[in-house]
Amino acid sequence: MIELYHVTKRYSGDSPAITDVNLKIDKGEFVFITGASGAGKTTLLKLLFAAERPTAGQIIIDGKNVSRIRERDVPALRSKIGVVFQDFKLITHWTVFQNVAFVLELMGLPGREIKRRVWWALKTVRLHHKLDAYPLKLSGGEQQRVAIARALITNPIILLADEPTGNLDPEITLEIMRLFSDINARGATVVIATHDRVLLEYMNKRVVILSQGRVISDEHDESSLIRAGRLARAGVGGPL
Amino acid sequence: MIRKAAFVFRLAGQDLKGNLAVNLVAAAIISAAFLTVGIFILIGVNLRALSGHWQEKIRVCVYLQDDAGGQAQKDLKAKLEAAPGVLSVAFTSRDQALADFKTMLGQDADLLDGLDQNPLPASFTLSLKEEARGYEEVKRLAAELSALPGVESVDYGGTWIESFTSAARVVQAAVFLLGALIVIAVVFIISNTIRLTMYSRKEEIGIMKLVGASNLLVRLPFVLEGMVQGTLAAAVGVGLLWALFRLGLAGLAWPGVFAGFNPVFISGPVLAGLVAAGAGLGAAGSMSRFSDFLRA
Repeated sequence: MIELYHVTKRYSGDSPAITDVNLKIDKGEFVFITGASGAGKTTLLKLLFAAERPTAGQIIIDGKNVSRIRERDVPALRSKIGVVFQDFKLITHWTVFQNVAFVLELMGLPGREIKRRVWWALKTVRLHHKLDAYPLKLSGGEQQRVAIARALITNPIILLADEPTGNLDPEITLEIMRLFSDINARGATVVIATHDRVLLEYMNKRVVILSQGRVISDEHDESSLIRAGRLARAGVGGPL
Repeated sequence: MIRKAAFVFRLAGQDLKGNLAVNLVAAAIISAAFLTVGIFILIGVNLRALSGHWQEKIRVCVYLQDDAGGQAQKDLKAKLEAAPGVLSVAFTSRDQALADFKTMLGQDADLLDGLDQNPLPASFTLSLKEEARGYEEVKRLAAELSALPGVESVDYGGTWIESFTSAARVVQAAVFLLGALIVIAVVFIISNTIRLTMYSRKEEIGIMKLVGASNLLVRLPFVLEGMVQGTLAAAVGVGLLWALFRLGLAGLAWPGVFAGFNPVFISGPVLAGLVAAGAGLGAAGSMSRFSDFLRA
């Protein structure tokens, strides 16, 4: 589903944010990307949804090479990928409905179908009673759930999330993780970047650890004690 | 396709409403800019109208020699009527000239009582066709008429026409130059105002792109908004100009040399052109430099 071969990303003048990363994520997997601040987590996700292009290497998404994707082909790629951000990225003068419906409007779906699917997506995140609210009237957790509803409404084959629980309290964090697990159970490949060690230990999924732009560990299944040691060495913290 | 077009219109309306404060400030700036341009056009239009108004009053007076008899006068009148550029010829006899002069003097008319003979000559007053009212044309005609038999002299207010014509040319050139500078400044202001509006929405554009909107789809509502904003702002600017014109100029009693002049407003086609320019500038402003905002 997602394949990276010798991928390097260097921003002009700086040392590389990502260096020679090789990674393969299968269809339906649930993967955490972690590492200390500046390890390259966000850059890696940006490369996956073509917000950045790699300086070197190849990125294959769903069988298509997106390393040199043309600007006009980006919307088609993004229609397959749902993205959730730490700062939610909701348009504040649009209602919850308008924010979530936007991607379906882009696809040119009929109004009735849009209403039906928006209602379903908001029901999934238990916000169907807040259709007409504006984002700034919602709590942080609710705003993130709106962003998740927007990301899953197109039934994406891949769901990317960059620190989706970074601003949220532990209870809401678990609720958001349950949502991601549900989406994963329906078949979507889920990739989440986080530096929250507790979350990684709690979820017990595949964890890719980045340090200074390089993959230093990629473990599918390991004891929590070994993992805790590995994370601590990589500088991954979190509210213990 | 129709559904997407409807969505673009809806999005433009939604955004105009959602960013009302920013859009109103931008529209107010654009209105003020159009008002300034309008004032300059109005000055130019009225200078031209005033020039026409004064030129309409231009008369050429052909004074007759005292010994020119009835037949000589008839012959001269026929020649004057046939002269190029002459619209009509009116005769003033010596007696009539004296009577007119007395009327003009009013209470001081008794000054003329001491005269033992009428010193005023008979004359023909020529009014001219529009195309013959220019300074050079009138000067040439006066020279031709002076050479005719029976003509004592020809008066056409030469110096005054010359001064006015050259002054009007200088003022019109100055208005044109200033107007051109103002138009350049206005284009700059409008494009920067729209750029600021877009800058305030940079994040929104980024979000649209992140969730899969194409450049065209992000751009179109902005272009539409720019057009609506530009059109409305230009219309408001023109409306304000009209209100100022009605309140300030139209009803005024003009003194002295301006007497009888009716100020004119900018013609319909030019007004329509201004509003269309508003729409065009709004759209162009939204399109220009848009690429800065499209990287996401």
